Amino acid sequence: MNKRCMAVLMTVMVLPLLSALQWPVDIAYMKESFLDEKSGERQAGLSFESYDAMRPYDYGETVFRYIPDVYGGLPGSEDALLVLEHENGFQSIYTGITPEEVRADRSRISAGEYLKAPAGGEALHSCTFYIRDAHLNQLVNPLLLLPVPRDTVKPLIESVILRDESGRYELIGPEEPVVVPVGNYQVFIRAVDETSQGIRQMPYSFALYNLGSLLMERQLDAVILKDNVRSFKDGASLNSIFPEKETLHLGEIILTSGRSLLEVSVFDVQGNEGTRSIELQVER
Amino acid sequence: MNKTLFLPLILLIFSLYYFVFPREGSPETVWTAVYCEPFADIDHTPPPLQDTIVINQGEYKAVLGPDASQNYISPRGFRGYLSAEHALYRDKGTLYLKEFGSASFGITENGASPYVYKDRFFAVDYGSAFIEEYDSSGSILWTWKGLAPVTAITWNDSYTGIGSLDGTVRLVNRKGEVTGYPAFPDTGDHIVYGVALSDDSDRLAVISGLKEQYLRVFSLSDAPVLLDTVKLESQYRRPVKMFYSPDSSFLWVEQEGGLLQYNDDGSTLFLPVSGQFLTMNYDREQRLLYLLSQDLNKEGQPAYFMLCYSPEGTLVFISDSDFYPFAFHLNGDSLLYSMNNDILLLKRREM
Repeated sequence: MNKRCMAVLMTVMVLPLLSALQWPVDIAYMKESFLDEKSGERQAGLSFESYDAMRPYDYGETVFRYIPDVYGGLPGSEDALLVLEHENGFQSIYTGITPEEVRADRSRISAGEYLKAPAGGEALHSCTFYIRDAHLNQLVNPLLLLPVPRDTVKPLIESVILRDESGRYELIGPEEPVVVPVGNYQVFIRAVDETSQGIRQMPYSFALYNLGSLLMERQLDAVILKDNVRSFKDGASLNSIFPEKETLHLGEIILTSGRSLLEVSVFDVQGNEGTRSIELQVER
Repeated sequence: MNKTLFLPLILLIFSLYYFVFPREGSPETVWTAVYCEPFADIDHTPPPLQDTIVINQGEYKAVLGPDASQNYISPRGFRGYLSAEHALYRDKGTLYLKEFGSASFGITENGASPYVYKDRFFAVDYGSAFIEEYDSSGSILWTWKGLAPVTAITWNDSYTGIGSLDGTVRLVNRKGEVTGYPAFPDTGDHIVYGVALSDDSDRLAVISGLKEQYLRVFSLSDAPVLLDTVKLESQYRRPVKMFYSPDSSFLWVEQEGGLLQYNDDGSTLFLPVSGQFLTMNYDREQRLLYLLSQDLNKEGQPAYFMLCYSPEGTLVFISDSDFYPFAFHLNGDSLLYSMNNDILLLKRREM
């Protein structure tokens, strides 16, 4: 094989490795995942604590940087901020990085460069990472883009809650059929996904079936701004979907008299599925 | 006439003329230091101030005024913001509000940073696009949660102007009602790098774009009207400082190596500074601009420059210092300045 063919072959083999997306901080330091609760708010990014080093998730062009300063343009802020624009139309947003790295004034940053060096410098206790789709103006679940570590742990469905104006039924199942009156019920699911690294986070998707028919589902894939309120793409606000910690409001079902078999299916981003079946006896 | 007598004769005529009709010179304006004291000792010798000044920069935060008994000096290294009567600060994730002379009380635990604009109290987290305003009792007036990070911000007494990575400027009034203004009406790159709002909320100026950047000036009096669009030579990648004069007749925009002044008639004037522009003050009564900038001196060490301009572009004076000036305020006919945490009061006099 001549040298030219060797060079082409090496380029084909090495290029995917160089351009592969990477975690900005090792997943072991992740404290809150996409739409997990932090300080009473659902945050649309990943937050890390006591991390050792930080890198951009992909190479990109610097489109915004801010360094806290006495006469800075964003008064009150104590966090440095960096935004990179990538060729796929996404922007990655980094807060809590070292001001020295922001100050370095690099117009393009490769994925191998540090945003926070592993040694020396000021120890910053937390940072947040977001991925924004600039064309659709939405914040995307970074777990859908980042390489996912091997994980075989299934999400755990702790309970399914049916609530109407007169009562609340927290169903754990499987057990003897639960007797409920006919009516309209709001369905809430309490579920958690624990990774192989022991990190607790919200599962990625939720679905509810009755007697095998899909009634409703929700995926935690992106967040938009609708009427100045953070919402899902179908317009449901985050506050209405997440009334409590680790609890998701899936929607409303109508239970008519007779037997119902509710099946809840929950997936994490790795594709592990957790399920729970609940048998109901609906009476007038 | 003999040529040798011609020149002395001319000189004699001019001398007689000025002896008979002496020329009156215009008064010369000079600045003299009337007070200089370390911040830590300021309680012992109160500065001769005409108005109350709130200093929110530097290691010491302070409220200083004509009545020294009303002065407040924060502990050294205090990380918070002051108004004339309150302090807003964060401690271990909780935001505290304190009225001077009273105990502090926690008002929220949202993890955001405190900021005070005059007597308005805010929690800000620009990266998470979160801003919340409180009244002086700590009650929430409004909360704004955006999606894209805040890239530019401005305040006046009635509104908070928020520029965003998504190319929109949102004005939030004190009831929390939001009005959005897309800064870039056409397709293209959408990032707001600067925003300024006049005191009367009639003028809004926005710098936006990415590869091509524009300054747009809107009138907001009735329906929003785009008054002017100026294509900039700049390639900003950071927040740009912009200032309106109190009567909206001037708009000053930070540029590389200076300040660009946009006059209300559409004309422009460039006011050069040494190095990087930091901030400015405008003395409306005397029509003088005080600019603060940062550069290296001849020895290659950081130096800080104060320049005084007239709005017509005349450089009145320039002064330099080796120390970072944390405070830079107008106070009546004086300029309050700090050097290495020493308070210096420069008084303007005419001679």
